[in-house]
Amino acid sequence: MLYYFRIYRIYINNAVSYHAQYRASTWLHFILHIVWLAMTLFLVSIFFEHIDAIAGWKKEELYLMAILWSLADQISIVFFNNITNLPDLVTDGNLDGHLTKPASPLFTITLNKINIFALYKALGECALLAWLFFHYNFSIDLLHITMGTMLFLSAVIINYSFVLILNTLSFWFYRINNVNEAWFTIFEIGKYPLSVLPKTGRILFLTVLPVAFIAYIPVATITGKFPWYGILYAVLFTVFIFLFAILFWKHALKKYSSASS
Amino acid sequence: MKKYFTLISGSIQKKLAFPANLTLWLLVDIAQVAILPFIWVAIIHEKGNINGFAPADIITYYVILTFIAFATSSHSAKYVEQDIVTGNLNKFLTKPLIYCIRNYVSGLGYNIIAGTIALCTIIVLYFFFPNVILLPFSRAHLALFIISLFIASFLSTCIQQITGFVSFWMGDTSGVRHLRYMTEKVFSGEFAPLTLYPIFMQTVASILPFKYLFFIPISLYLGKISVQEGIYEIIKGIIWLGIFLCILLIMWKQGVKRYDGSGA
Repeated sequence: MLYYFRIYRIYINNAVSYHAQYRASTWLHFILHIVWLAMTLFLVSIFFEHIDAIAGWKKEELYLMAILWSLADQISIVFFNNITNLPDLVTDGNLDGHLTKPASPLFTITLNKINIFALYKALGECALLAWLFFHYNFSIDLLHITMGTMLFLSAVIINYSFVLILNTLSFWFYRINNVNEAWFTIFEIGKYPLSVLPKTGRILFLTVLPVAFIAYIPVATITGKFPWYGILYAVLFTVFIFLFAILFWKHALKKYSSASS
Repeated sequence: MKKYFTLISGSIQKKLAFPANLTLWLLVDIAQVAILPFIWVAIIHEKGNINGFAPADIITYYVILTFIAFATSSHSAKYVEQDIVTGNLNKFLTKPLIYCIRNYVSGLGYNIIAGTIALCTIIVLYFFFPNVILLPFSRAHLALFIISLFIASFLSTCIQQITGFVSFWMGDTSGVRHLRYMTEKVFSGEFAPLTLYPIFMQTVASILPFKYLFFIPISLYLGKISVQEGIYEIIKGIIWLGIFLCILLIMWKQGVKRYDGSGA
């Protein structure tokens, strides 16, 4: 464990050194992200030009959903974004470089590049979140906040697990380097209240395409809209999908044969 | 011209050779608007009608939007950036092809296949749900709609390639691509019909060219604008297309001067 912690510390040092060379780029990313976030919140407000609540969801609750969704996305980008390069590593034969290292290849592939840009964005979103709670009168208690925070962390784990599963498919399907764009587009559905969907859609996004876990379930839990058995399901689903992703990865590695390196 | 038709044919064969890649792009274009019709129908059901949009109008709006996304949308920005950053552009500079046209026709394979799939799906949907999927408002509107699709297709590839060419100056354009994506989503009518926006945003959207990507074609299909207005919008769309082509050409010429082919 200490061994992997030492390796991770080196990755962090490398990331900080690398991003320190691109300070202008960091600021540009941050400003563009603020603009993007403002547009997201604006799009949500358009719905409420015509109505006071959508399927029981008020405007501030949808704002909360959008910000939590973006925060989950940024946290995933900070720590796990490098896994999205897996299809290219497999097709170009560069995966061999990770397999021959004296460390878990999943660890080195996932964590060897830490995105400091996204960390600044995540911190900005935390500030926005704090403002939202102060500005709007959310009727919440400590228990729901704690459960919601736990489910939010589960959302990050679910997102990583699902992205790992999708990218592991590149061991069998070639030319699926757009799988991450496809997932991000589907992932965006998670910032809207999924209770507007018919039953089939809700089941789909609570199982096969787990976007409901990203922001909808945490916010529903915080606002007291989500039942206790749903929270239990979310926790069990997190454990299941994470274990499945790891086992699927190990199975894929056994099938891997290097094209070239 | 023959070489570009060969490229189109090759592009279609390439897309069909990698069905997983094609399926994923289809999912991307569907997922971008998957939940929005449900949200708007939930809103409109309570009100009955919002700014001339009944439930059937809004459902048809998003169905036709998906068809337009399949048939006209370009996804070339990321590939252009990769060509520039990795030095892969070198091989295109030595070929007797105009790079911008090459990028356009390379994407046509996906548009032709996906557009055909979407059209067949809409026809099937119409037979099952004739009350919900509306037919074109009139033959004149249909003709203008088809012309507007060509404008949307050329405009989409221009905007994508301009975004990609920013790499000549910036390298990593992920932030710019994201900004372009959000701006298009807001002002093209992809998120919602522009007439449902606040008045000041409708004014901004009417000035910008992004409405020609989705909102104008769909408005023509649904008959939300008259034939005369439609012709006027088509002319404006062609003028915008000319402006973007000029920007594209200038960026290409200036960008190639800066390009050093490193990474190849």
